[in-house]
Amino acid sequence: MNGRNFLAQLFNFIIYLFIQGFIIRNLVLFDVAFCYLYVAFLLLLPLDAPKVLPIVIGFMLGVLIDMFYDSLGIHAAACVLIMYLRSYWIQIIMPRGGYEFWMTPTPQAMGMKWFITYALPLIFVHHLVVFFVEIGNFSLFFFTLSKVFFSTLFTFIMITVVQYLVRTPKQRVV
Amino acid sequence: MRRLLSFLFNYRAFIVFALLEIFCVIFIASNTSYQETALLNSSNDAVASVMKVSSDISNYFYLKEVNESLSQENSKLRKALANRENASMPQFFWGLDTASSDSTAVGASVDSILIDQKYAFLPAKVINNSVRRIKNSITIDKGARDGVKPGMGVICPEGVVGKVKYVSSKYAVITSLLHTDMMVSSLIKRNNELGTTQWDGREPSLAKLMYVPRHIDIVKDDTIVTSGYSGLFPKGILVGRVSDINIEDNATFYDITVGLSTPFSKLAYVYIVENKFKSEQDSLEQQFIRIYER
Repeated sequence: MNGRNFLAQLFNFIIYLFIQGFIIRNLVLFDVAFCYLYVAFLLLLPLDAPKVLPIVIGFMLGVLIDMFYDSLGIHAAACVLIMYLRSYWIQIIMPRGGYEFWMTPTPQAMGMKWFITYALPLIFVHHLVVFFVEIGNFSLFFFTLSKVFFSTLFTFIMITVVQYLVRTPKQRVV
Repeated sequence: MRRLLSFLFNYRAFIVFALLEIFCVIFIASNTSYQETALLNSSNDAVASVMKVSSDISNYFYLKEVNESLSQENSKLRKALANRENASMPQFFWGLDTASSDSTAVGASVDSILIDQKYAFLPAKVINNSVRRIKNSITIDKGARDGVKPGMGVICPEGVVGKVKYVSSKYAVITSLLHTDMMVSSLIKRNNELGTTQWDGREPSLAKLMYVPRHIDIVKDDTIVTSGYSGLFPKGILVGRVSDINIEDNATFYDITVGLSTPFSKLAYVYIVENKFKSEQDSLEQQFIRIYER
């Protein structure tokens, strides 16, 4: 990761933290669909990132997000888990022929089908941990599960929309 | 040694992952102790001051409702001031009509003097609030330098709000009544029967009144108020009204739903309750517990 890349990632980190913490912190649709857009930052880290660094970044972002939600440790635990799983998941769903150096985990570069297989399970795991650790037991099991399900969809849609809004699809020479 | 190092290196991702998860579990488990974690929550200066800006902007759109609620409270206070001679003022203050306590006017005025000495109220502005999660919290703009301490009760003109959890120098975080671990010792106002109000995590306007045995007389629309036994809130602060009563054939306790009187989604100003005798009450009760544990 060169210097320019690092600065761009740092900028993204702050932007996602700010948007999550101050703007869509309490955005809830129909009482069940929560939006944790900040997960996008973690999912969009480079494909060839080293193994350890993303886990540490996930921890830092999680703890900062937890400060806004007064839920110390919950988002951090979920982020660390998905960042650990991410490196293996990327290997498992590798397209035939492997990854090219220019590839980023975005719907534009990899195609929508790949992005759904990549992002949806990771978002689901993240939300599963966040909601079930928050409630701390299984007393409202199906209510919580419905929250996980709808929030996963909502977060995924938001992440994709933001991707198409912010990043202009680039012409790639394949 | 070399083999050990290469082993560690091969499994470095897993080791880092496990270590950080252990940290997280420690964080989550220590969530109840407020001293050491005071930095990592929304009472933190940097987080709270930016939240304050965003709440100042969004509050602008609720000015009308806030004004209405404050002017209603004002008129209530004026009435209370006029009735100060023969009525129990704090009860009048915090959402209770005194018509029913006229018969015990002497007792009430003694009560009122006691409550005046016992409790102090500190106004604060809400800068962050949530109602849709399972464990909701509220951040306010008063902190340790204004005399706020963890464990103090918080009320608003309409009723009970919660309990102070974290405190930084300028800000504090409140465990809302809409937090599934929060319990409020409550009374049925009509017959002074005891129960516990706790939120079940579903509707932000409904809570459960628990541990009311089946021989107790309770009807729909009964008023539920705080008991004052824990010293967290003064006695008689409004909690809500009974909206639904159920009982299974062989259950010991009723399943009572209470419509909360506090409009949690619109909170703008709250009052922190300082109980000046709280430490005295606690130390006395501790002694009692110690004697009977022997």
